Amino acid sequence: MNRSALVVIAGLAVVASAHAAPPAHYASLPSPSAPLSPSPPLGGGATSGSEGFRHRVAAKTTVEVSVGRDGAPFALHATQRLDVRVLGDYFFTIGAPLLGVVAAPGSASTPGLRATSILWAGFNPGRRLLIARATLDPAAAGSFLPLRIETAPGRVTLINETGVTAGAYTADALVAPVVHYLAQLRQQVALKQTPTSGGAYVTSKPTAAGLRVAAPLRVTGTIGTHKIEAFLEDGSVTLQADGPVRLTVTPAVPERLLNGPTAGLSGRQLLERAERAALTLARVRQYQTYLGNPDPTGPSETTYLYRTAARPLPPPVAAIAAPKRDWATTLGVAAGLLLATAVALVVWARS
Amino acid sequence: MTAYADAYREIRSSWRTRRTIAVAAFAVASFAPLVFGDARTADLADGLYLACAAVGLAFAVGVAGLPSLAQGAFVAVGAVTGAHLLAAGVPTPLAALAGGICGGLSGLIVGYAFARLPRAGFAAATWIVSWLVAFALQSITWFLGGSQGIVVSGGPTAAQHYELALVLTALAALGYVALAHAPIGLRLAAAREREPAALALGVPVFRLRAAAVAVSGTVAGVAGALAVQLAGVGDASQYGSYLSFRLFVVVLIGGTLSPLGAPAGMLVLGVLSLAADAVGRLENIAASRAHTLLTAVMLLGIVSLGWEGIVRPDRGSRRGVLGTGPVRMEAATLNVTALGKSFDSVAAADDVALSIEPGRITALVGPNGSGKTTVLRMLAGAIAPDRGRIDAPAGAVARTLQSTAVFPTLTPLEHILVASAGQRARSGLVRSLFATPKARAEDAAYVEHARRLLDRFAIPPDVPAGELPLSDQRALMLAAAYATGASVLLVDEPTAGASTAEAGRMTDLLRSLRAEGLALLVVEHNLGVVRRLADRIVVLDAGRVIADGTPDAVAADAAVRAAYLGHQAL
Amino acid sequence: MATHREALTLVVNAPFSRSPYLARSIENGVRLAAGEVNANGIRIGSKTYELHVTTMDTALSPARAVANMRRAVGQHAVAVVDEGTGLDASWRIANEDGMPVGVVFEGGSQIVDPVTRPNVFRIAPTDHGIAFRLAEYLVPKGLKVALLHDDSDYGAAGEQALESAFSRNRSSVAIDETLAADALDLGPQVLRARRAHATGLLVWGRPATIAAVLTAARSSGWNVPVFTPPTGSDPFVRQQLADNPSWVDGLTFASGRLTAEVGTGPFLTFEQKYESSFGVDRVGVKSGGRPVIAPPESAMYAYDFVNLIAAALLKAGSPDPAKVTAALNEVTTEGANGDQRAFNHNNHEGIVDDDIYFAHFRDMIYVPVKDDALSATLPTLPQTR
Repeated sequence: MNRSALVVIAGLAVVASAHAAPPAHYASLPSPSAPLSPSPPLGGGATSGSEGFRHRVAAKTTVEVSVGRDGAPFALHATQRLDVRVLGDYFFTIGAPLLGVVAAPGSASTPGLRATSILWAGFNPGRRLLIARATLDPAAAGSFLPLRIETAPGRVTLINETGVTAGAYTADALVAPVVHYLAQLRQQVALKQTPTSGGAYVTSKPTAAGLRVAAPLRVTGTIGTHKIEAFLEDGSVTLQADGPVRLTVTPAVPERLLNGPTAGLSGRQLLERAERAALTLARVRQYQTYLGNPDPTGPSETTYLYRTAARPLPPPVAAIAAPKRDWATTLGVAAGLLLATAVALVVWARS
Repeated sequence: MTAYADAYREIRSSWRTRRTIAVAAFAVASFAPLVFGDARTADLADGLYLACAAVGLAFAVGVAGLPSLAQGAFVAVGAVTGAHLLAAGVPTPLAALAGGICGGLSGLIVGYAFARLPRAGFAAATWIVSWLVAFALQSITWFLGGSQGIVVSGGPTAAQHYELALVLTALAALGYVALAHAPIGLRLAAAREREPAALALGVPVFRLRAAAVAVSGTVAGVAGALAVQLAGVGDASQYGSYLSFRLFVVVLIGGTLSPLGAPAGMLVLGVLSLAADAVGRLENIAASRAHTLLTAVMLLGIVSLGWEGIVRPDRGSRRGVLGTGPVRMEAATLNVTALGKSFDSVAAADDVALSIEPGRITALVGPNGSGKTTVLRMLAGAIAPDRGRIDAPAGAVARTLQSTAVFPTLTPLEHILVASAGQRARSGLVRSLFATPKARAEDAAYVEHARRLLDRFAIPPDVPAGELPLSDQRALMLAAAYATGASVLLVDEPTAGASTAEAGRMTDLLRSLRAEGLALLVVEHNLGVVRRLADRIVVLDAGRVIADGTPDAVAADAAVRAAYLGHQAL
Repeated sequence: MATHREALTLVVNAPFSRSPYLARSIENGVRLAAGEVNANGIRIGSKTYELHVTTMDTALSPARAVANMRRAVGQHAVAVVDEGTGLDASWRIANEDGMPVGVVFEGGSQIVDPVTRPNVFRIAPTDHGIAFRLAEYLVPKGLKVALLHDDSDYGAAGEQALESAFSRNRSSVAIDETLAADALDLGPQVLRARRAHATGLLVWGRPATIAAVLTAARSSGWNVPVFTPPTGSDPFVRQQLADNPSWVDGLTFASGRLTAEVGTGPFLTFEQKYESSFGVDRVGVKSGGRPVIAPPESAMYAYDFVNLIAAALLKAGSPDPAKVTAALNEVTTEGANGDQRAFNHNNHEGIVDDDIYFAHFRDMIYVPVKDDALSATLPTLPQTR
């Protein structure tokens, strides 16, 4: 019998021995992989129409965010690298508000462009790299970036935009199952597996509660000459810095929630912590999948690169070639023809 | 302003009902794009370009009498030229002009190469040209781009092409009328009717025929260049030898001797093609095959029934006005020394010497086979002597043929105009085409001169020559030879088959020509005529001159008596 | 009470008089799909539409193809299914109305370009795809390939595609030779290839050329492997060599796959529907004593395009050809063989190069090869009745 089971049994025994202890009911914990909002991933995510054959796809996306001096993004490019395994046909649709898409160097195929998706179709002889460089509509995609930058003279504020209030519940719960679940999550994250749902045994009536969670962001880079290394959980940080922004932002694992000590905490407190951990992992997973992965259980990671750049000048407004008649030319041609006819008639009359 | 007024008056005076109908038809046709959609308008425009090419062909076939089966090839030449230039961005008018030039040059080459062939040979040769061009287009993809063709984009819309094609067809028809009416057309018609007689009158038959083919090729080239732009693609499969065949049938259906024959023929073929489509659909025959079958059946019908065409020729009137007419060449003596000619081993003429002097009639007599006609032909330049000299100014000699050889469908007036055409100064291709005032004035003067000449010869001017009595025809031959302006006339048996009265008429005419100062050589078997007419008699026997002197001297010559006169008296 | 339906014209522009077998296949595929679509009609807003099919003969003439396209525009057709002749000129006419044109045979690369020809789409294997897959397949085998192409337009287009495909592997090419398309005896040319030490022949030409090359090689005792584009599967090749069926054995051709990974089910269902409506296409030879039939490949491409048009009509919410063209970039349907068929703004090719497979003949029927990743996954279609 393994250690976990013994712990469970011991816990149960303690509970059972408690004088007049209430009965425990199983309650599901929030999913650590289901999205907490429609986006990200953008455009409804990715689908695979490969005739029932499920490919194993690992997705790596780099999102280049061009920001102005005020920190607001004005251009977004995403390079998504899909490492597709399993022999057979594939037909992937990656949702995104696109302005254009091209194949990036190293891609085995050329992506298709639709109004709201990238299209990949072909036959995989065993392993295939599909790399697309997409130009995203900043108006539609910009609001789903994890980090917002606000600049003021001499200071820059970095705001974690991933916060969301998700549905949860509070209740008294048995400690051991929750601790077990937290350990499970920790192990899955360490092994880069997709975390799975779990449950708790509550001993009181669950009360609905909203939990505000956010995906922690690891921010590294420079602002001007100022070196940045920050771990931004829900909220913001203001830095005394000025100058061009060169930041790399990656969604991070909620270490504190997963690895924090559990001793001395009540079942209610541990339950809340487990819910937060699951919901935070779900939120992290969303921002790791800025562009959808056609393999729902495949690993996805996204890196966001914020760079200050000069806004391109708007293209000159093209003079609309209104189909107005060029009277001068018409009259000139008519006059020329009349003159030519007159000359011809004179020549004719004399010949 | 006088020139425009004159032109207007002339048009008004010569206006006919059929011209009104033609103008009305063209005017109504110009509204077609308003009624039909783009696709149908494009089809109609294509048909009109072909009709334009057919009008050009009608000139070669009808006026020049050349059964040309290469018109499709000339259209193809224009199309290839047009396609390449238009694809390179050259403006439409220039491309059309270039197409016309290339088509014309092709026509000129074909004309010069084959104009001397008999008609069947000409037809076969041009058919081969057509086939060769089609083969080249299919085999060498540079010409028209293989299965995708050469794309020709831009240019006028289908409706604009339609109107342009209509105008070009009308202009081609007007050009046909102008050239057919002009000396060029008359001379071609003469050559068509009787080539030897036309040659005898100094008509440059082969040169004119080459020019006729060149004209037809020019029209075809312009039509081809514009049609390829309308089609939007240069497609080799559209220029197979069937195109030449189709154009030929269209001309035959509509009538070769009318400028509106070709458009009428195209209309008929177009209407019948709709029927062919319907039949093809019923019998599950492909449209292209059904059309070919139809066209072949129609050609068989035309040939076997002797169909003359829907539109019959319209003989326009000719006005005459006193003016500067043809001028006769200065009086000249034709001297012949040591003339000789052999055919195989037979000496047809041997050491013949004679002198034909102005104001004198020299008779050339002798038994049959003595070489008289051979000598006459050498003197006229129809055949080259093997030895000897003929001294006479160039163009000073004209000849009549031994047999009665008039141009049956031409009037005596037209005969004289053909004969005198060589003296005209303003009858070139361009002036004829545009009927310039000076060309028309010259024509009027020549017409007046011709009428007076015919009056003098007592020949009615406006009856087709084939309908004239024999004596009038013989007199017409003499009048035509006289009208060439030559100062030396070679007259071959002018009284052959004539009654006494008719012979008297001819001798009177010859005397009057002598009185004018012409030098006349008359070959004659009628010794009475010879005695009455000749100032001098040359007797030939077995190709040699056996006597040359006054009638009395010749009559008394024993050798002449022995060889020729026998019991006859001179 | 039957709902009144408005008609939408669908034009089939193909060489009915010059290539009747191909043209009829295309027409049949279109009619089959149209019939299925019309069973329920296409409901757009308050109106229901049905597809009426009209045929026009190009006679393999670009000028006629252009004239037909004008007529199609004049008839306000919703789309044209085209064999491909003359498309370089005719697409413009359709584009003036924004009318979509679906090419279902010609594979030339210049025909389809989403940027410059936004209304032209294709569901057919491309010359480029075939050539590159052939190179990809043959080069690793270490063969010295003789590239033989005939002087037909098809052969000339193939020559260009092969030149591009083999440009980085010229050492694999033993000789490059042009054959006369209508030559009956290609013995001298095949001998030249043999003398150039070729260990494989890649013949890009019409079926008659392929048959002539096989005859020349085999009759001289040269059992060199022969590879061809899709024309190798044309029934004519087998008909010409019916007296020597062993000469056809081993002939390997590249073509668009007829089945998908889900198996033969969808294609066999399509084939059954096709044969019920239009009968069986017999090749004219036998295999194992049973008559061999030709699967309806060209019909399948035309069928798929019509289904895409129907989907695009629904997506566009309007029968306006320009809107249908735009919508064609956004819809996906399941093809007759079970594959996904789709276009997009970057790509108007309905058959990706990946979908080119290889098959070789065995006793007059063809079997996917086993030494190619895609082909090895494909089943053998039943080809006898």
